[in-house]
Amino acid sequence: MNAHQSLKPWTRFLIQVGIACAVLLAFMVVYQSESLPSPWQDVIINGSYALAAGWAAFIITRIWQMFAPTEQPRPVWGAFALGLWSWTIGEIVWGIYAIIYGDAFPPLSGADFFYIVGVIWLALALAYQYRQIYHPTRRQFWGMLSSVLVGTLILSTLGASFLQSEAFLTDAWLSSFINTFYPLSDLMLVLGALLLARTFSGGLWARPWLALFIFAAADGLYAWLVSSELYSFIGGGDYINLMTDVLYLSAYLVLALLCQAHLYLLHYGPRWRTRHTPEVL
Amino acid sequence: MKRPFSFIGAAEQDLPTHNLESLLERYLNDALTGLVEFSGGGEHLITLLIAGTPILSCRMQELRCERIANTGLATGLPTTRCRIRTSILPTEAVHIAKAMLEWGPPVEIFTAKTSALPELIHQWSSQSQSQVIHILWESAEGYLRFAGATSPSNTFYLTTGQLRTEQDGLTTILNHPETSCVVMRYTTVQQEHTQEQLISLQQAFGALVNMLVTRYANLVGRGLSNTLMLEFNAIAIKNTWQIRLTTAGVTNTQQFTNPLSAQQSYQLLLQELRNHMSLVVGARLVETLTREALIDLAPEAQQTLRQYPLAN
Repeated sequence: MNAHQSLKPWTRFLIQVGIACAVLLAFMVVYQSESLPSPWQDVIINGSYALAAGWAAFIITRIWQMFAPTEQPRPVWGAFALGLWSWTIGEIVWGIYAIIYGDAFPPLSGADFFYIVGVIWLALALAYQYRQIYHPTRRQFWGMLSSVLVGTLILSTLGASFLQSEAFLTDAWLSSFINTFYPLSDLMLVLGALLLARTFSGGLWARPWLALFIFAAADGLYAWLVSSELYSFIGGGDYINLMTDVLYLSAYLVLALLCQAHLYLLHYGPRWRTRHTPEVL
Repeated sequence: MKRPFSFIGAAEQDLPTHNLESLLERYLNDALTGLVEFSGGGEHLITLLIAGTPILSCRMQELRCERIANTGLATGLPTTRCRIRTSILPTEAVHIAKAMLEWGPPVEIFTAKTSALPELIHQWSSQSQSQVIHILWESAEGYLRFAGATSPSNTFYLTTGQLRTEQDGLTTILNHPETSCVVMRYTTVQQEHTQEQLISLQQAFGALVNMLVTRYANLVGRGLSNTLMLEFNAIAIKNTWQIRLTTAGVTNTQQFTNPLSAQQSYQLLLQELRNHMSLVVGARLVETLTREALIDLAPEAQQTLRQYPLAN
């Protein structure tokens, strides 16, 4: 047992909360001061998102590993982890695009592909969790899941066509589609996660779904600010930009921390906060 | 209400509990036949001795007898001193006392007119199961024992300083001067019925817990359901109940004396189980899981749980 493992779970958790706060503070200082030479400013800012997303994805992967292949919760956490890993790759790709294109960031990038794949995996994680609770038939399950996904796609298509016809956006149709799809898919995740958090209300199992709710809400806000052009990709000194980006990073960190708490729940049982011995059950 | 055999003269004494073993040894040497009652620390233990040997020992709760081991009576009392009441029973009364302890509590207790006793005795004589009837007046008591659908096989009448048995006892009972009496009827049917109910309740409890734990494990995985099992078993061990929850299901070898005490124990275990599950998946979902499990139970188990509800 190393020194880290000999600490009480609650102490270890508090250390991680401290690290997350320190990362957030450092991010704000770097973001607002704009003191780093190009391209390091972008590398640090976008790297922070990728690291936070990767941290969350790593913890959720460890949760997935806690379940044997035959156990029913395993697909939930497998899909959740894949969703987060997709978003991590999306953040990395986004960061690379930011370095390459700088101010001329294209309206569509390779990152969007990974974000969309991530959304589908996260929707699948929610659906798997619902399946465990409500036991729908196979047909009902896939029918409902495909209805939600196809419904989101149809609404995004209609939204993109509307924006194009009304000339609200001068971008390409696909770009309009993406701009509509993100808030809608976030809304879908927000509602799904909120309903699950409510189903588990008062229980520790609600935490990861609450975290996904916070994350999807923050991402939805980000998507709305971007599409309404309140958020500017150029220049980092704007307070709306700062708040939006801090909120986005915080959402990843909160997701990681709440999933860490969930991992401790699986390791040490529901009373892990008061647990003195660090042995795994 | 007067205790049974209260009209038999009894010797009472206070003793330190560590002297009880030597007292029982003395009774063994004296070949005493009778009832010895030990009271102290809120407990009331009773043991039936035949020729000095303990035949049956109980912890009494009102008229209900919870069987306990014949050995270690002294350690069964949570006090250093106790009151001891020793009643020497006539041979005729031994079977009746034993039956009352084994079959108790009475299946029915009612007030009757003494003049109605012949008709009641006629009714009891036509019933196939074994019965003991205890008739209590202010100044006397009577006992009738029926071994199936026959006239009473044992009868005796007790009043202060007077014991009448058999036909003489029956005649005295029927001619007792007090107009009303309290009748308590003990029967083996109750015992058999109780045993059936205990088995049904045990099976229903096991099925409900198994279903609940399976559903919970499906939601949270084996690790957390193992923690739940540890907690369940810790509560059972703390209460000295021979009930364990493993991955194979509920193992229950606990002998409860009556369905009510079984129900209370099962209710406590189930409540603790549900509290622990609520910590993890929330009370709302635990309610849903419980409801689903109750619906999926076999009709017989559902029937039992309607009679003896375990989950609120």
